[in-house]
Amino acid sequence: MARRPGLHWKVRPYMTARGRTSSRSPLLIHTLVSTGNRYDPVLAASLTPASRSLYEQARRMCSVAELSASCGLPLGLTRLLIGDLLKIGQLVVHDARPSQDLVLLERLRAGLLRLT
Amino acid sequence: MQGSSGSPDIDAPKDREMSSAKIVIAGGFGVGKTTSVEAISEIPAIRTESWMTAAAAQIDRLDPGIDKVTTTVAMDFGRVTIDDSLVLYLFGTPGQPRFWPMWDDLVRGAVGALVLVDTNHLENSFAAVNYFENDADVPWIVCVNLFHGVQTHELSEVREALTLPPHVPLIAADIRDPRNVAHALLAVVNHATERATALAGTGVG
Repeated sequence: MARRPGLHWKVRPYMTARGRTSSRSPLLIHTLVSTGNRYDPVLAASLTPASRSLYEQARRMCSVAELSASCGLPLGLTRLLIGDLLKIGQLVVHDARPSQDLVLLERLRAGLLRLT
Repeated sequence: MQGSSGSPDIDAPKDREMSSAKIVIAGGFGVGKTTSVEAISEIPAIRTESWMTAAAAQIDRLDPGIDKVTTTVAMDFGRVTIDDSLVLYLFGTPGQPRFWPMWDDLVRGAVGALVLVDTNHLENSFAAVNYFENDADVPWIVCVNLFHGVQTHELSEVREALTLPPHVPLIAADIRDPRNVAHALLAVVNHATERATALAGTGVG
């Protein structure tokens, strides 16, 4: 079966999501996700095209938004499917620091200063 | 040069654990959101579409006048590597007010927001200013985009025209220039730092 990287929405996203419309733990759009340096080809082959596409893309750590864009999946569906892969331990979330954490802000400041 | 011994220790990223942060770039149509993201992003700005769908579970909050279940929304984002274990993502908001439910999603967990304004079309950014003043809880600043590097209005006039509260910083930058964009983002981070410091000072636990 030919699988194209960009999915065509001839079916509604909620069909792919098997009727579910929300994920339990909301992932932020900038949350980093990866397969955690592991890759299971047998698992990959067993996944639906959309999930498989996410799993493959996540071999290189990237944000939820990047996964959504690179897999051509709407954000809501991306989150839902990532949530499923997290549940079975096949994806890892690299937790974002609290956004008002002073250590984080200082690191951002130092990094941005270098660009000015 | 040695690092000053008195400064708080920044977590050594020994475990190479990566983390990310986000700054939102908002403003009206044509104000330069995409341009600013493109100026500083180390990857080509990514345009994503069709975010709001049935799976987004936010349909009930849409304007009742919109009867489509799936709405296409275009949004740009970029990435800046801050250090060996921190990535900063920049997200440009879609300008249309009907996509505000998505703004909540974009803004959640952000370090802060940069609201761009064009002094020739201030009204285009009223909605964004209102949003951050009333509906969001992130530090935000306003930046006059100096189109062609020319400042045509005094910042005090702009502040008055936008009825900007005194605690909201107002700056000017030519957002086509990466260094100007870095300065503007720095101003967001500085404002966030001031706010976080003030909150830490009051919240004695």
